[in-house]
Amino acid sequence: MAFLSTPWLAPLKNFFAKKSAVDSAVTESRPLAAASLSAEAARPSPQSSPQAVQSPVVPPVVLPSTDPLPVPANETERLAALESYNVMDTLAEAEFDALTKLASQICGTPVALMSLIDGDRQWFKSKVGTDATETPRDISFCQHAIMEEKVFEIPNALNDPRFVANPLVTGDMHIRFYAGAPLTNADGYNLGTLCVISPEPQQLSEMQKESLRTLAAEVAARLELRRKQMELTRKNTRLEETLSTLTSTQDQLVQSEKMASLGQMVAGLAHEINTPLGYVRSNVAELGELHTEMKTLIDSFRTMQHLLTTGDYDALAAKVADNEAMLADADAAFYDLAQDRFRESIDGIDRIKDLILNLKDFSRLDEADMKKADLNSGLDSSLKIAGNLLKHRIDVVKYYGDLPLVKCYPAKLNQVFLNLITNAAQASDRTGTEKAGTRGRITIATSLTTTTDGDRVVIEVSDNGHGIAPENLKKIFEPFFTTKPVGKGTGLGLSIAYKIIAQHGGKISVTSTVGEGTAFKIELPIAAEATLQPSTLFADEPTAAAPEPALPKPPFQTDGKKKSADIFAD
Amino acid sequence: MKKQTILFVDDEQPILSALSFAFQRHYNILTAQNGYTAIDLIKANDVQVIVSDQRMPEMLGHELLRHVKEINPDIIRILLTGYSDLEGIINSVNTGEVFRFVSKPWNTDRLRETIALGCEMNERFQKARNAVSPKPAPSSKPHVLFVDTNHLHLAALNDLFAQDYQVHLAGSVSEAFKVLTTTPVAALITEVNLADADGVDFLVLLHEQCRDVVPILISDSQDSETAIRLINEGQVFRYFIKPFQRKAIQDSLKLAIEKHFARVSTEPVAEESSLRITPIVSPLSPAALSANVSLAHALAAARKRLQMRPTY
Repeated sequence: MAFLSTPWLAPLKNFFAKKSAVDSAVTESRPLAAASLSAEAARPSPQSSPQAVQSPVVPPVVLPSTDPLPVPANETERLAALESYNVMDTLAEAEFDALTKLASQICGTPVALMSLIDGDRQWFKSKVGTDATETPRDISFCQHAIMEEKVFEIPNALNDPRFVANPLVTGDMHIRFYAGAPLTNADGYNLGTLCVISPEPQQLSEMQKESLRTLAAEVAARLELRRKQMELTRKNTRLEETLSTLTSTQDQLVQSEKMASLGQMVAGLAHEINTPLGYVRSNVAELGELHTEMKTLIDSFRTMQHLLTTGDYDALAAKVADNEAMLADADAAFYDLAQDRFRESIDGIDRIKDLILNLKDFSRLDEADMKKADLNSGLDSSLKIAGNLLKHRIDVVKYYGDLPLVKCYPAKLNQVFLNLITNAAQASDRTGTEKAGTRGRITIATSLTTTTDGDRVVIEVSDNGHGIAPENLKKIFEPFFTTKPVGKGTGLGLSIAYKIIAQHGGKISVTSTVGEGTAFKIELPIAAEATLQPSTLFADEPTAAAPEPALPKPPFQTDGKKKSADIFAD
Repeated sequence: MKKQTILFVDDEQPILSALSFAFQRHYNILTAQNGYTAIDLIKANDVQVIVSDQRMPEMLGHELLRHVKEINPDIIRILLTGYSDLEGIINSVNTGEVFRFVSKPWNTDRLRETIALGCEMNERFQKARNAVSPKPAPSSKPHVLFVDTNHLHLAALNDLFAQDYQVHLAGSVSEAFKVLTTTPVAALITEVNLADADGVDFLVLLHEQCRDVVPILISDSQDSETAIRLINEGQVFRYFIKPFQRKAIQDSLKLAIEKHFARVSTEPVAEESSLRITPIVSPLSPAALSANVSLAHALAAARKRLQMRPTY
């Protein structure tokens, strides 16, 4: 019995179309039509009741009703409510089927349906004993059932004027008995029914009716649950999408922070390199011209020597006169200056060489692995890289203690040092402030302390800058937190610093007083091996191996699914 | 002949030594390691050209140039810098009205040509100032031209200026040249990103063909290389990054028009006249330009001529 529904529906649809035309005609002239029909009600009419003709048992003949179809008062809202469940034309679901089956068993009927009624049809979300999937609304029994709160029961459709001519009664479906309990949702809208149907007349006991109502309530509750679940799923999907957008945005920002600090570094270095390059180039070009002049003089002396040996004294005298003019032009003091230009040029080249060496020291590009490094010299090379920011504006005071070598990723620690020095320099730049005229100062102190956890290196970078307000201080290691104007900072520098120090098994903390300055303190274990396997650097869970940091965790850390390697890849 | 005087300002002594060494045989050289000393020297000496570093302690280069301009606007101002952010470049043009922007390391020959040109410009300015040539007061509202592909921006500028000027609007470079060939435009405001030609090329050609028109540039581009070309090659009078203050652009346009009438009242001598520059083989007539046939060719030719010029 595959889909009988389609051939079964075809005549119904025809009927529906015809009937609507009749209905509207009836509606327009109802008082008259109703009156004439009630006048005819006394005698049987073969045209209006074919059932009566076929049936040999004539009395009592029930004439079809011409009452208008029932429509709930809140129909618009009811339809909107039904729409909100997104349940129409969805696949069968086992939990509804179980309840429908239970309804048919309890009521002892071959057919049970969970019927939902929209504008022009009833659609069966669940069904037992039939293959029908939907029928037009205007021939449905259920449209009557949703008008009431109690169970709507038709013991024998042939005895009811509303159904006696109904194609579901006269046709293959052959409905005689119908009982339907409305599916009432929390807002009181009857979305449809849980109904039981039989081809034989029948009557439900009170207990059966009660059970049907209970089952209907259960169906309605499950519909509600289903809607909530769908909403949750939808919200969850949206949250997941948002999270993935945020994660990728964060990755982009980390990347742009890297590019921004790189750009700043390159700008500073370009200035530092271009200055000596400028005078070296100028000097070499000028000295080259001097060299040409001297070459001419030397050639001239050579000629004179030749003339002297060959005894051509007239020519010699002329040449000497020439030379004197040339020598008079050449300022002796100017030639002396050439010596200074040579010396300065070599100094300049040394300056460039030192800068390049520092850059190499700073980035330690050739050292991807952990290495024992002198942090004092790391601080020095970071200071040189930041030199352009500090020059003329800020005094740097260093109190370096004797430090043992620390096993670490030197380039990453240098990145942290540069970040702290850059921040300190920006905070204590007095240009254009009320303290203009006084000098900013950065103090860098290193020391070794012994704790219960073993020896630790302590690095403090403090400034006498404007300080950080307490409410901002709390958030200072949070990603994206920045007090700089839009476009001036990504707010990631310190969160990355935090992460790098955590990866080394260390701590970073901050104290600040507004108007007096800020101090950052880093503690690093000397033997970091235990907490820092090389694999942590590039693996998926970068912070997993790090000990619990002293400060609250930045709330927005990536779960490390990806990109920790990206952040730090040099 | 009296040697002209050049003032070099840089906080790095070796830079000053190198510059002195390169120029002392042809010029009187003064040097200063900071802005304050430089200002004292400017007041005490007859200086023709100042060449200053941008990044110096206490006073930045563009601030020094602003003071110099106030003390004596005839002194030609050149900025020589190791690295400059766009902000510094824009400051140098807008407040220092810098003549050229030269990057370290510099090419001595080109710097020499640039300083020579600067001296010549200085001489011409002084002559113009001494000559009694009353400025022809504009009898009617001056003509101004606005060029932008964004018609909303054009409309906004029109609203802002229509009351005080005869405003012409152009949506492209070819439209702009059509206006320039038929109208005595005093100043123009142009966006750097234009549809039918590169905005820098446009200004270069404008500077070459319509030297009296004073250009103001508006841009949202953050590219310092472009900015340097615009200053050196397009002789941009003011440089605005969008969005900007109405008052600022109003003031600038007013100054640009004053500058325009000052220019037309002096002898119309081409800036590079004395230099051994390849003569323009077939100078494109405004008529040819208006025909729009060879606009691209003209722009390319102007760009090429500039690449070949000996100065910065």
